[in-house]
Parts: sequence; C-alpha cells; structure tokens
Amino acid sequence: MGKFGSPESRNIAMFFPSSTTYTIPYTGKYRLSGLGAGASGAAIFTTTSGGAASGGGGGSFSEIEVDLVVADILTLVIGAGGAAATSSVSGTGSDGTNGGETTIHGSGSAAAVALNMHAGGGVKGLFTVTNSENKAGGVGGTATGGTLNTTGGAGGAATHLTNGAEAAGGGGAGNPYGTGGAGGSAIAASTAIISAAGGGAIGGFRGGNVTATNKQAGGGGTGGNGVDDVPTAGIGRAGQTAVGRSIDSIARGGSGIFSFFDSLVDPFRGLTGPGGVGVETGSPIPGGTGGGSGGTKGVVAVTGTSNTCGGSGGNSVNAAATSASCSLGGGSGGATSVETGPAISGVGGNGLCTIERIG
Amino acid sequence: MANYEILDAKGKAINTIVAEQVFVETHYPGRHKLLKEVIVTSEPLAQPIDPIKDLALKVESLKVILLSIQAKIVG
Repeated sequence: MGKFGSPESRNIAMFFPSSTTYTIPYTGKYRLSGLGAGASGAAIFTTTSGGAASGGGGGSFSEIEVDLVVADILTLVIGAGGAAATSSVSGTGSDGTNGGETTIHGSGSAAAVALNMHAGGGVKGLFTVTNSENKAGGVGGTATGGTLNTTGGAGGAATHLTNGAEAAGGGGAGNPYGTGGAGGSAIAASTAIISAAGGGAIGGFRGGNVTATNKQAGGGGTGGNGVDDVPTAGIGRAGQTAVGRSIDSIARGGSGIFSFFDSLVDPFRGLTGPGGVGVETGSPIPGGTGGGSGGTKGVVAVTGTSNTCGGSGGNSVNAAATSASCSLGGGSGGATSVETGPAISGVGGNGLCTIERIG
Repeated sequence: MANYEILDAKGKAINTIVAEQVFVETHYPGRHKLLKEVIVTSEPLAQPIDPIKDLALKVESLKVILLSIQAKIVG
C-alpha cells in the first residue's frame, strides 16, 4: 500500500433505486445509506367554497459505516413514494398516501447479520372543506439502525376559510445535515386566500409560508428558508442564489433539470443548492440539489419535479390544479381549487440506497 | 420496475416498495400486490435518427445527379 493507500480500496457510490440484493465483492469498510420515500399531499376541489390541503412528510435517512467481508449479501428494500391524490368530484377530496420504508439487512459475516437499518417514509397530507379547520401536514419518517438517523421534514399545515384554496408544501427528506425542513404552511388570519406554500429542503430549512391571497412562496434552500408570501427561494448552502446552482457553481437545478447529486462520492453530503422560486404562471422550477420547489398556480408540466430530497410546493388556483412530484425522498405539496377541478397532488419521491466502499 | 404493496399474514399492507417482480416473488412469496408499473419521466426523448428513412427517395435523387453528370461528360 502506498502513501495514499491502495488505489482500489475506495469506489464511488453505487445507486440502487429498486429493491435488490447485492453481494459484497471485496472485504473492506463500506458506507451504507438508506433514504425513505416521501408521502404525497392531499387534494381537494370544491366549486365556489374551496378547500385546504396539507403537504406530505419527507422520508427519513439512515447511514452506517461498517466492515464487511467478501460474499456478504445485502438485501436492499426501496420504499415507493406516496401515490398522487386526486379530487375529481366537487367537495370530495382525497388524502395523500404514505411513503414506503427503505431497509437494509445482511447475511454472512457477523457485521452483516447485525445490519438492521430502517428509513421510514413520510406520512400523508390531509384535506378539509370545513371553515376554520386546520389540517396538520404529514409528519416526516423516522429512521433507526444506523449510526446516523435523521427524520424527514413534516408537510406544511393548511387551514381552510370558506371560499379559499389553501395548499401547503411538502417536507424535505432527512439527510446527513439533519432533519428535513418542513413544508411551508398555508394559513390566513381571517380572510380566505387562494395561495400555495413552498416545499421544504434538507438541513431543517422550511418552505415559505403563505398568509395572503394569490401568493406562491419560494421553496426552502440548503442554506435558508423559503421566503414567506413572496416567490423568493431559500439560499444555497454557501449563500448562493443563482437558479439551481450548487456550491461549486454548477447548475443542477432550474427549468427541466432535477434529480442530481453534486458528487458521486458521499452523495448525500453533496446537496448544496438553493430552493426553487414560486411560480404564478407556468411550471414549477426545480431548485438546486437538496432544495424544495416553490408554490405554483394551475396545472404543471410533468417535468416539474422537485430536486433530490426536496419537498414540492403546493398548488392552488381557481381552475384545475396539480402540484409537482418529487424526485427522491421529498414529500409533495397539497393541491386545491376553488372552482373547476380536478385537483391532483404530485407523487412523493421514491427511496434510495447507496453502497460506497470507503476503505 | 414497479410498485408493490407488501402484505402481512392477514393481508394488511405493511409497506410499499419499488421492485422487480422476481424480487417480490423471492422475498415476499404470496404476500405482495402489484400497484402499478413505474413510468419514468424525464426530459422529452429526442427523435431517433432513422438511417434508412426515405431511402428510396435518396436513391432516386442520386440517380438524377449521376445522370446529369453523365450527360455533361458525354456532351
């Protein structure tokens, strides 16, 4: 072994988006990471009187560094994101769907047999058509069995006032930076609003809240919260604000760009982007890696997913409403309309496992 | 790749996972339910290049060019 160690003792991370088994090819130290799936937000449309929809919770995160032996077998089960909720009959809403749990277990060596990692999925968002009723967002998933276990961010809460359409944001996923950020809330003091909050990011940074009408708040960034009642997104990890740009100044988010990590080495620590801005007209614009997307108004394009581990913003309008789906781990925002439907929430982000040989 | 519900002994759903059919049949025999095929969405696919599309048209075009060259040579 030379000064810098054996050249074959480290590899970039291997990504597993679907359940499988994996046989360890070399004896060595490995970093195993599991991300639970995000839940979906609720959906409701009611002609004239409207409704409120809270956001889905983000998935949790579990990580361990462990010595494994050649021929050990790992069984990776990948949680599925919560299915979209659809409200296509006036006054008949639909709660979201919980995200699935991601697990890692092993067989072979004692260390492999001891593996019992569980990264729980987020909990679904809820709807209401009752005046003054508040619906809490779904809580984030919880994780066990890793050396590092972090909870997903809760979906944003929404309170309905008659004739309003209040859509909260989805929660961000758990991550090495800590608990996921909560989705922004959609709660007005006294007058009904038609507004949508932003999605949460990693690291505890929440999406922007909405309290006034016709607002689409920004998504949380990896360095700051989305701003309340304006489209401004949260800043990136180093304070950067340029659309979708990570800390190395490369754009990994923005219009039509999503589902990236900054690095293939230790990827879950390579999430440093800003949030996505709120959008009044057009599809949501994904934030950078780890950021939530902003609130939106109206039907969004299928490419409008939130970026890795970020929650999506809510969608609120007086026409058909569709909130954005999430790429990995994030909870989706609620969708609500006060006139025509349908209202459809996005799909929560699927889970993921990574295996990385580190020594 | 598809989404499957994983069921307990009483048929109650206990998890929802992404997997291939062979995985759930191996690890959860008789305890899984197909929910839906996963549709992977991303950027619109570019139109594939078809090298033999309009081939007959291109051959005819080349024939015309060759005949015109031949006519110039022959005078």
